[in-house]
Amino acid sequence: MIQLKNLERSYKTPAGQFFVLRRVNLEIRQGEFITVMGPSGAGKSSLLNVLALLDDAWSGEYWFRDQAVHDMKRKQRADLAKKNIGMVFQSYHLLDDLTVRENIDLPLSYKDIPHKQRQGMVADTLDKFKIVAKKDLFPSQLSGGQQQLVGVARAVIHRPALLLADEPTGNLHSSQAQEIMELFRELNQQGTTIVQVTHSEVNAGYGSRTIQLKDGWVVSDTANPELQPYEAVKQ
Amino acid sequence: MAMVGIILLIACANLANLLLARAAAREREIAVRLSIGASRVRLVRQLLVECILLSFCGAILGTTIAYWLSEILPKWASSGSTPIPLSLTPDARVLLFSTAIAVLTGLAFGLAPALQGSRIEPINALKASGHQVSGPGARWSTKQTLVALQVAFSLVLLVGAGLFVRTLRNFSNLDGGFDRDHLVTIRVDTHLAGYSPAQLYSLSRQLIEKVEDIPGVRSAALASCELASGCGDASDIFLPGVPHTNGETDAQERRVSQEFFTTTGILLIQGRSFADSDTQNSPKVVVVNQAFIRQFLPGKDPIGQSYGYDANNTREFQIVGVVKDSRVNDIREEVPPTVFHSMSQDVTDVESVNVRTFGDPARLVSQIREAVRSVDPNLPLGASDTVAQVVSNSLSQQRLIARLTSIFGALALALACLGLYGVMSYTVARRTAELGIRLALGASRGTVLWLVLKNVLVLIGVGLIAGWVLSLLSVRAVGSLLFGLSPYDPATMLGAAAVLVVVSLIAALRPAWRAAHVDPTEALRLE
Repeated sequence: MIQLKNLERSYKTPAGQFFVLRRVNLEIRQGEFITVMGPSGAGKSSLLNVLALLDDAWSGEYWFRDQAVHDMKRKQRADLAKKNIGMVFQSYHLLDDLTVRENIDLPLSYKDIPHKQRQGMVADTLDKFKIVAKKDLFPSQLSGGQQQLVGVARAVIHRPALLLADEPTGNLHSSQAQEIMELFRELNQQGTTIVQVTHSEVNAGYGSRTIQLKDGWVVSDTANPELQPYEAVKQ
Repeated sequence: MAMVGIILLIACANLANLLLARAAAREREIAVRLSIGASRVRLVRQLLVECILLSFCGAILGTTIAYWLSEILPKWASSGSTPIPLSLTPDARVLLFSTAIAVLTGLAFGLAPALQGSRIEPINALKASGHQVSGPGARWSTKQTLVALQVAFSLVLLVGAGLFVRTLRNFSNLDGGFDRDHLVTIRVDTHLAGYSPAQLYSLSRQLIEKVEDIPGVRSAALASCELASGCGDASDIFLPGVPHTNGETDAQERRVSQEFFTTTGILLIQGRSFADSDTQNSPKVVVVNQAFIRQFLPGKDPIGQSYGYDANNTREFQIVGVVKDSRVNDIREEVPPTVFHSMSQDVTDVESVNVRTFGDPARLVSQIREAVRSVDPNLPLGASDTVAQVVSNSLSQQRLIARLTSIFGALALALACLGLYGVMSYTVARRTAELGIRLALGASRGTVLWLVLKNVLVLIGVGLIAGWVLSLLSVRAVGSLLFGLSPYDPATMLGAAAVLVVVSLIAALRPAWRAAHVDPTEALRLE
């Protein structure tokens, strides 16, 4: 589904070029549930932003379903992301002044879908996530777990092929976290490819493959035991 | 005064917005100060001192600009050969008053934000780390109300400017009934020179002959009153068979030489003009204008009709011709009933020499003056102007009003745009996270741009509606100063609104553009 070849991301600093991703080679297959782990500053969120096509300033090759993303213009990338990718954030990122229903409708409103069809899709999603009763509430009237549930509902309403989750349970207590992870597992079983960033070993356990990052390098990948040791590659 | 008041209000609204934004941006700082023991009084004092300092700096800057503009403004506001005698250099009293107003308004408009700033709950402010993502629902705030008010007040001034500019244009383009091109007028004063009526007949003839001898002069004529200078006299007249009502049977009188109508381009539409046969000894004849016929002889053939200045002698003057209505007395006045007497039959003084030329009349002025002097070196000569210039000078008051309202309108527009720019920049900064999320969820940059511009249009729309209401209420007061258009002229109202919308959108484009180019990864990191 996705192939990254020698992908790098860096920032210019007064001290020189600072790399947050180094020579990342990665293949993500359809239907996988990948967990990206690593210490703070390892480049996990940066990798997720690149995969989400939110970040453009990388070098290397990025193939999405055999389409060369690296050759695409900004707008083409945005269109590709809009159709295929959903994102779940640690801080939920719900819009405070929109109701649950309006928040869930937001991605659809950017897709030129007729209003009536959107209403139907929102109703189905509210039903599927069992939050019909909350549809007219505002985010501030929900618990953290409920807010993240809305965040996930918003991310999957347009049935993306790839769901990216950046520390989706980071602000939740364990029972709420478990609920969200069960939801992810269910979505994955229904065919959604998932890439999650987490510090939690428990959450990692829901995935089918774990990738470890350190200082921007992929240092281990359970699907690729042959991966050269980090120190050797770094040399 | 009202215009200055409106500008002051707009500036105050801007200041209030700035201080509100500052107070909001400093919520956490104030919360920290409160949490470590600062009293609210002390915080209000601190915020007010900052505000007074700001106002004082503004007053100093304003004074500097006022000094600078006091030289430029009168020159810019006046034009033509008659500069407006206007001294704008601020004296000590003006300076003291302006500084006091600046500081007091600064204080008044800074007090509310200072009080609001000190009233925040430190716990809430400290807890609000960044998880709040404002959406479009947090739309209408005090800041936006203030911007809408600025837009409204600006519209009032722009409508005023538009009405006065169009009034000036209407006057300038007005067909005065005489041909002002290639026509020059020189003021003379035979009264001061001591000419008797008997001497004036001879002087008139010589003056015309001498001036017409100049190459390039087509014709010359004399008049007892200069064109478009407002010097006409009115007299009570008596017409046979026409009821005489005091004050309502007035006609303006002018004494002119034989070629006056040809020289000034006033059209003869019936009968004849003055002729060589009209002498002191022949029956007294007059030429009247259409307004005279309309008022005193409607439906009658005017030629051959007579009138007098005495109830017992209503047949003293016979009407021999009718000329087209012309605004010979004042371009701004409706044409009154006017009687033209022949100078060959009755002359008391000569006040102007009118000369029609083939080419540019300004180039012949010195030769014409020389010719007049050659007839009588002691004849006092006044200013010489083309009639086009005389007409233009007669509109100096309208020009001053039009230019001043334009200056104030432009200033108001600039201030309102500054306010709009500030509020939109502030709003975009506050909404960075929300916009980032929208972009991350698939919103195109165009969608985000429209999202911001839509808010701007709502703001402008509310301001325009309020502005139109204010304009409709206030323009009635200036109705008497307008010419050729209604105070509620829709074209002016719409034109002013269009200018406001376009300029405001330009001002808002930069914050909107910035919003559309928010980096979603950066915005999410801020969260």
